[in-house]
This record gives sequence, C-alpha cells and structure tokens, in this order.
Amino acid sequence: MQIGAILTLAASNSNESGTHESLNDGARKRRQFLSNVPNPKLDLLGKSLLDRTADKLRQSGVKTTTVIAEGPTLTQLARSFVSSDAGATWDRAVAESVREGVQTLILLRAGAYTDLDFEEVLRFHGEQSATLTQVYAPDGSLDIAVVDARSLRNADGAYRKTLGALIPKQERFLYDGYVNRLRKPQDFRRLTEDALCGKCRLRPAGSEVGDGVWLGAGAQIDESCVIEGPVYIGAGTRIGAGCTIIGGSAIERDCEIDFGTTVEQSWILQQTYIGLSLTVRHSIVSNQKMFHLDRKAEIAITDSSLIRATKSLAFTQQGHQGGIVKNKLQIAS
Amino acid sequence: MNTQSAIMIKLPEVFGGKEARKLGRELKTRMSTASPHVVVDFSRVRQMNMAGLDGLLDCMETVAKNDGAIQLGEISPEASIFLELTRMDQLFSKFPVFDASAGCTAEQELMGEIEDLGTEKVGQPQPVAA
Repeated sequence: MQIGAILTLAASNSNESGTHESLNDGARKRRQFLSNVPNPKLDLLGKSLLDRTADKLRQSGVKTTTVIAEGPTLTQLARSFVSSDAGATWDRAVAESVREGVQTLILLRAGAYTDLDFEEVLRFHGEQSATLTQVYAPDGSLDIAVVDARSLRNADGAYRKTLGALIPKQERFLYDGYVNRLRKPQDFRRLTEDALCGKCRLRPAGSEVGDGVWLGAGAQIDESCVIEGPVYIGAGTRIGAGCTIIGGSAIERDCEIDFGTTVEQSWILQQTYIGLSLTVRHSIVSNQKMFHLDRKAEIAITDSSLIRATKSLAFTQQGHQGGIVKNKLQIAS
Repeated sequence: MNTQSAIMIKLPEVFGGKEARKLGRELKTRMSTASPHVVVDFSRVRQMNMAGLDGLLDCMETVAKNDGAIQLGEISPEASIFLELTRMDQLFSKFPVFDASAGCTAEQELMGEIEDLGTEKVGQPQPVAA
C-alpha cells in the first residue's frame, strides 16, 4: 500500500471559527515572539519538529511527504471556509499525491506536538475500512487525518469540497497520550522540559553524559562550569568559564555562552551568543530577542555585547564528534 | 521634623546613551540637598541598552557621592527583563530603602521638569519596587 503525507506548516489567515476576525491584542502579544520565527523549523533539543515529524512518518511507512507552507485546517474544510491561496497550494499537493498513485493519504499540520504512533492510526483506519479517520485528543481535534485517496480520485480537482463532505462521516481515533498544543512560548519551554525529564517520547539529539545531562556532538564546556541536569547542550555549542546552566535549560546548537553567565529554566535558540556575566532566567532567547516567560514580555536586544547571532563554530565544521572530556564536566546533582 | 526630599524621574520609552547623559546633567543641576533620594521610574521604558545602563551607573555614582540613594520606582516588564539580564536589579537592591513613611513635604520635594526624561512632580513618594 502506498502511503503519502501532506504536512502543512501553518494555518491559512483565518481563525478556527471561520471568520476573518483579527487576533485580539492579547493573542497578538503572545504570538509576538514566535511569530517572527518559523516554529516547526526551529531546533528543539537538537532537531526541528518538522524533521522529527518527517522521520516519524518515514518510520511509519510513508513514502512521500509533501510539506506546504500554508493550508486549510480540517475544521475549515468541514465548514467550506478556505482562503483561495491556501486552498490552491493544498489542492496541488493533493492532486500530485493522487496522480502518483498514493492509496492512503495522511493530512497533518505541524502545530501540536504529540507522541502519536502513526502506524497505530493507519492500522485503525484499515480495520474500520474508513474513508476518513480523524485523530482526536481529549481536548479536541489534533488536525491529523488519514484519507482513503481513492475517494479523491474522482474529485476532478475539487478536493477541498470532496474532503469536506467526508468529514461528517469520519471515524474518530481517540488518542490519550502526550499532547502539547504549542500555542504559546510557554508551551515550547514546557515541551523541552518534559522531553528532558522523560515525560514524552521526544528525545534530545545527542548523548546523555551524566544524570539528565545531554550533549550534542562537539559541545564544549569549560571545567569550571556548573551543569545541573536535566540540561541539554546542543552540537557545537560552547559554554565559557564560570557559567551555570541549570533548571531544565536547553541550549541549542552552535551557541556560545560567555564567561560567568547563568542560564536557568530557559531555552536558548540555535546560533545565539549570550554575553558575559548575564542572567537568563525563565526565558526563551533568540539571537535578537528575549521573551520572559513569567513577565510574558519580549525585548529586542540591540547590544551585540549582550546577545547576538553566532556562526557555526569551526570545530563542528571539521566534524569533531562528542567533544567533551568527561572529567572536565562538573555535574551538580 | 525629619523629612526627606525626593527626585522622581520618569524615564522615556527608549532609554539609551543620549537619554542617560541628559539625565546625568539634569541630576547634577538639581541635586541641591545633601543625601538626595532619587526614585527612577521605569514604567514607560520599553527599550534600553548598555549605553543607557552605563549612564544610569554614572548617575548612581553621582548620587552616592552625595550620600544619597537611587531606587527603582515602577518598572515595566521590559525594563525589568533588561535589568535582570544585566544583573542591575541586584545593584539597585543594595541601596538603602527610601522611607516613604518619613514623609515628604511638597516644599522639600524637587519638582524638576526634565521634560525629555519625563520627570514628574511627586505629591507623595511612590512605593519602591525592590
């Protein structure tokens, strides 16, 4: 059986209620930080959620995965509310899958993170002889569906309409495992922490060198640092002398934390330089911005001595692996 | 009666080197009493940088040399993030707490008009955030 998947990165420019109402100020403020970066493409413990999803699909027997930037949600399809631009891209992707002879099509959105086993959903779909199976968590739809592509063959291009008509007849797959909706920055932080604590199946890309201390290839940590697990330090990242990294913090690849800085309960995005003798607490930091999770506010950092972008460090480009010498790491428990 | 004088300074939305230098100049001209108490209100600040912070440190030095104290007044979330990041919040907390209950008569308050910096006339000293 040939299985294909269409993975949509973002919803079309309308909300789930199917109206053109703009986001209210609160929602806009919450999305301010992460709206500036394409979330699914961000590294999260060493690998983007997009790559993780694609890997999972591959492991479940999916031969081709088409990634599109924008497309309709299933709720929008059910209500026949899809903006023409988003719909056209999605239509093209479906048409291509059908043309290529895909028999079963997985439609999903890179929004929420789940530990969902696609093989299990596909098995359920087959057992029920369903035309459309939609995945639900206890708090609602996960925007993941499996469609019998044969039902779309005679759609003659009207895929949205055909699929919309199938939704009322759907089979429901109820999933009660780990779900993180990733709706606000706090959710991303919670996901990194949950993963480091083993509360979900997401695993850091690297090796566990101490109790809950994960290191990516070529990570360098000065012997004077205090590292208290659970902590993730990504590939090619360098932690300078006298730094303290604690509280379930995750520092992604190719970052540099300079002398004497403390990183606590924070997520530092890839290729970020954090200057010397600073305190980063309960925050998400990119190379230009910092979002404080308690204060729910974001600041732009204009001083490159404080925070800026790094470039990939030379030693990772040279392919050095697992750069830390064990006895150089001080792990406080 | 033992009363205290206070200078309440409301910083602008963007507080950089230029604004800090202006603050320093104004402070020097307006510190007429010994042991001045300066309350810096960050409630409007949305953006700061290191030059602004350096300037603020210079002001603290000036005030300290006159046996006075600088304290934080109201503080916006953005300013508070910046001060925590740079550990300046710890420095501010070292200064003795301004005793609002000691009273502050209108005559003894310095009601400067540092227009660009938004210095405010203060009827009562405001609670100081640690």
